[in-house]
Amino acid sequence: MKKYIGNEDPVSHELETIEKRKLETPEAEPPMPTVPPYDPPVGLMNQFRRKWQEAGKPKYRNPVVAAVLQVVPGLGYVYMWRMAFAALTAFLFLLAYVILGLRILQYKPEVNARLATPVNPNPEPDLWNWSLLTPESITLLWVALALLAINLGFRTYHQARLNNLNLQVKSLAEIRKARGTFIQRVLTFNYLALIIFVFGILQVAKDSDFDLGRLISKLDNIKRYVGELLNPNWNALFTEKGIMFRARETVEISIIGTLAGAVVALLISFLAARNLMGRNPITNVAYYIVRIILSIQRSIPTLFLAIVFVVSVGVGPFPAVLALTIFSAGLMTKLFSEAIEAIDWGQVEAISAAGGGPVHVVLFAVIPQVLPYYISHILYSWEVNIHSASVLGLVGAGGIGQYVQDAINTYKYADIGMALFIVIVITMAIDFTSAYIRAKIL
Amino acid sequence: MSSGAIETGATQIEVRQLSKVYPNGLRALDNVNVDIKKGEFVAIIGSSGAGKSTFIRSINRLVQPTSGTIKINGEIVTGNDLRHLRRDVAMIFQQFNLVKRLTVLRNVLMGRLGYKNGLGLIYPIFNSKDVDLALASLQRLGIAEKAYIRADQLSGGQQQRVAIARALTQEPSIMLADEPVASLDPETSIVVLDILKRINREDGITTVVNLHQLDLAKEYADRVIGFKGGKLVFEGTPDQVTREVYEKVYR
Ligand SMILES: Nc1ncnc2c1ncn2[C@@H]1O[C@H](COP(=O)(O)OP(=O)(O)O)[C@@H](O)[C@H]1O
Ligand SMILES: [Mg+2]
Repeated sequence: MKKYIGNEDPVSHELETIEKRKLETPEAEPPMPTVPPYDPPVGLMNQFRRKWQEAGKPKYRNPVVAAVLQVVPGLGYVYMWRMAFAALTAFLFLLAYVILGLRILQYKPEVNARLATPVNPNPEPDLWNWSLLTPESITLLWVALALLAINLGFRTYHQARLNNLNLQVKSLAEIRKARGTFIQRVLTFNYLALIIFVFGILQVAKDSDFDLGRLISKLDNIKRYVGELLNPNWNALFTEKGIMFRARETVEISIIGTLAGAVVALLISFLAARNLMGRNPITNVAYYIVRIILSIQRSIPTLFLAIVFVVSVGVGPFPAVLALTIFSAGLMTKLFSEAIEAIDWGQVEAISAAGGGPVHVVLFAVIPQVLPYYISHILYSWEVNIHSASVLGLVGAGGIGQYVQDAINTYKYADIGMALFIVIVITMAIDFTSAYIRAKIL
Repeated sequence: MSSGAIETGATQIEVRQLSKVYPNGLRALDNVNVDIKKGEFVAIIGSSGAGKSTFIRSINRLVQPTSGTIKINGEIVTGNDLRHLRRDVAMIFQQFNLVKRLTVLRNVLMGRLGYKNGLGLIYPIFNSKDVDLALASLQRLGIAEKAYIRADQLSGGQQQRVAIARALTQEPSIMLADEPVASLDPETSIVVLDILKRINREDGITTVVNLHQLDLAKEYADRVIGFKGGKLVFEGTPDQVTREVYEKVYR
């Protein structure tokens, strides 16, 4: 998006705030004079570094505060990893996160100057250079690891006690005893998660520039645009490559993307179901490989996928179909495998006790149990995909988003209002139909 | 399944020094030695957690024993040819374990899976012999008219009869039953146990039944085996189950 209406557009606002920061910063602290500003070569990695450095420096002047704010949400992610995978992967993740995160935050020109040589007096920052790791970072790394280890240790111990409880304890008194003393309860309580959560929220609000004042001061602007949107242009409906044409394209993209994703997910979901795979070392390895691939896949935003495909296969609905296929295959694999994990295992046992082989078990004990859920999940994915398909056009991947993109570029706000209206109608129609069918089959 | 002369007396299941320790360290079976003869109807009694299920599931390897051996028809059971073992050792369960969304007939046909090989391992096709066998089993249990009804539409007692029909369709020589009547009301329990007993007598199928109700065990079994804390603490005929035995097994 290059053009904006009105004198208050986001880009100029951003520039303004950056200017302000620049003005404020030198006053707050004496500048570091010795090192001339570093201007890195253009490149994705360097741009990231630049961004990190800019984000990190002015906000958190005190290195300890900076590091704590950096580590705490990190621990949150670690905690989620621990829930999703296992303690070991969580530890590795934490290590990577803290080292990389602290290194970036701790970047200081005067430290970086240590890398200077007579040949290269202005070295670019090398985040992987261990000699630049500051003592604060190392201390914090250990503190974070120790905290996590203590909490994990206590919780694991407590869990083991509770497990024994199920099998051996008979009386209420014993159950009370096994619950532990007050101190034990304090130690095993998941306070870490609570703190992480609170700090995480605080930082999220800070990072996303949450500012009610700014919202209120711009209320007039918002009113003006919304007013135009609410006055849709009905004539835009049936023009060539008009709204109806693009809307149909959106629906078609979502249908094909969902179906292709379902086929892929159908095959992979068996590999991603712990109860089927976890009983045998070989299949267990397959299970973990599939899970790791899935978690990587899920972390790629659909819009990003669409951009990649638009660049590689060209503009139009096809890149959107590819992006949705990958996205919904991941989503459905997760949902499908969860359905498999929830099956009544007795039916599986009965088939194998009758001499059935592994494929028989899948055919006769698993599929009949999960089929209605599969259909329901496919419909649900379709609902999600129709939402995504409307947006993907913004990056050139066809559908109604494409129409909106074109209309923005030509300032036709009333046409956008019309497109929005059609999107709402279609999405609601599909949501209602799908919800109705799902309620029927489950 | 030939209803000809049944040579009782020959040992069919020979259990030696069988122990099972679950991964959490719980010793569910402790050095168990039992012989079960061909055509016998054996009831296993014991309170909850005594190891009855673990014992019966070790026979068809739904549970992998930690040590000890089980011989069936003179051959040591290994984990290798499980499908062959299991089609000869049918099993019925407390929760019936029917595939609820399939029809009754389809469920009973599951008993033929053990005989499918080659391509049939990928997609089994049930031929007319299989279907005839399945229908005959249903007829024998008096529920042939339910053949095309979905299994979850039946009452508990009917579902257990379908499960028995499925087991019969395997043409097994041994029938294991893990608390087959624990989810049924008293009248239906009697119907189901009568059926098991009749099949045991008519076909000579060796039958091992877990029962926690002592009275039913005494009424139906040729022999009663008592478990307590994973150990075999009693073995004898139903008349030998006295007050003292009861105390020993259940206290
Ligand atoms: N999969 C398992 N893992 C751990 N312990 C188990 C498992 N299955 C059974 N047990 C334990 O083994 C003991 C014997 O169980 P079980 O054979 O089911 O007894 P019963 O059928 O006589 O009630 C019980 O204490 C039970 O908790
Ligand atoms: Mg049991």
